[in-house]
Amino acid sequence: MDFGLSEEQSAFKKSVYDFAKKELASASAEPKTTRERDKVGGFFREGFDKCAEFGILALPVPEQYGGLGKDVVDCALAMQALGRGCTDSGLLFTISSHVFTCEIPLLQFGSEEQKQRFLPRMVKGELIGCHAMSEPEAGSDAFSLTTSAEKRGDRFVLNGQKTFISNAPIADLFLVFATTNRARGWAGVTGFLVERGAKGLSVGKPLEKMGLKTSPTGEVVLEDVEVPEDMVLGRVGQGSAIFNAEMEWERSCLFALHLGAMERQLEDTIRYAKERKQFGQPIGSFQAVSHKIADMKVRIELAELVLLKVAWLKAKGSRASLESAISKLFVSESFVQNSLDAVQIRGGYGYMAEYEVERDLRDAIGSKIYSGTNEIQKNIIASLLGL
Amino acid sequence: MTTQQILLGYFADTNAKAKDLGAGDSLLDRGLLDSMAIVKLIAFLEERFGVQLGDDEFDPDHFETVDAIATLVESKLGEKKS
Repeated sequence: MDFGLSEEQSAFKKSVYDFAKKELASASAEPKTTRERDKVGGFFREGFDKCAEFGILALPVPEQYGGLGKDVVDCALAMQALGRGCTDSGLLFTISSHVFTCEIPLLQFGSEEQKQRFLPRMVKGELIGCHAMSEPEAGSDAFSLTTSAEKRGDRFVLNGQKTFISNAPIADLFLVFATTNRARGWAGVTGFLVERGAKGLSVGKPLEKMGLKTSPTGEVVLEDVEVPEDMVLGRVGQGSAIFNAEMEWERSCLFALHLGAMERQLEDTIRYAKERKQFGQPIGSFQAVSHKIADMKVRIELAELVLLKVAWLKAKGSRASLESAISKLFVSESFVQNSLDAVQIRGGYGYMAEYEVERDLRDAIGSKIYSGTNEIQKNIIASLLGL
Repeated sequence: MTTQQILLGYFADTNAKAKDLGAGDSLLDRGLLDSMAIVKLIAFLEERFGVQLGDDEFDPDHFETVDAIATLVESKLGEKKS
């Protein structure tokens, strides 16, 4: 057993961190900082384009489609480094949705023609992808969705409404899940590729959220949207397979961003605890503070172990249903608790937007909800234990 | 014990509604295979038969009946031997 990274992996991770720290710190035009964008709900398009240029959007995509062909472990390491180096969690969330819930399904289930058509442009950031699954009445019970796909000749006609769709307001390519046969439940769900501009496809204005404000989220409405047969992703009825496969990727790579964010928080918090003095001493010398920081470190260490285990399992081709549920649950709970501790240690300053830890807390809350709520992760874990 | 018998035993053990299940009965129509049950079933198949199912094999057609699952498992076992 070897828990260490290779020299190549360490160098790669460091290069991503250095890039994020230098290139994603500030935009060239207003709103320049993460805090300013957070206030107005601004998407950091310049940062997205820089990530494309650096190769972040190309990470898991094979070279033949313009990608870097990195495995899951390298992707998770890159995300961890991005999360540590970049404070704009919304930008990183958008990137993660684009890469892990659009590019990955295309790679795993797409026809050669679909891959050739979309992946090279997605890798360059010319097309932004979004993943349209959730509906007003189908959240945790995702496969009870009602968006319908009716076969008419050589095409399908889609009707329905999607909500809470990350990237929807800025997306060019929509991976839409719809049912061809509601009576068959999960077995009737099918994935469709729909391009912006398709007749009958409309996107609502960005939804106002508690956190991740710099990642645009919206509703998608489909009214008699005609989709040619060759834009079915995978086979008819394979939607649940697509969804489950991408969720395992997302539960390792998206949550690696949060691991990186927790590392950044810890570094900042240690610095603060050494500098801030009360009762004539640095607050870090008080156990009430130092124990909180020790707990933050313990959570990070364990989160890293469980998350990289999932990535390692997936890189060697194994299924990781149980492990990815455990990882998603633990990393998100840790992210929220560490964010609460980071605020508490700073007291009144932590509560102020200027110190930027309250934003981490707002951003962290969502991690307990997206990619399957933590309650659903516990259901999966219990079920796989035979309960 | 045949693959079908092992699978019928699995369903009988995990779902009270599966006591009189036949190998050709539709698992979906009988409500024995929801989205959570399929994840659990795949974990069972991988552990019990030592096979690894690819993401693209997670297809409703392969899970329509016990017979269909047995065919999938046996083809995977055949691949493993060769």
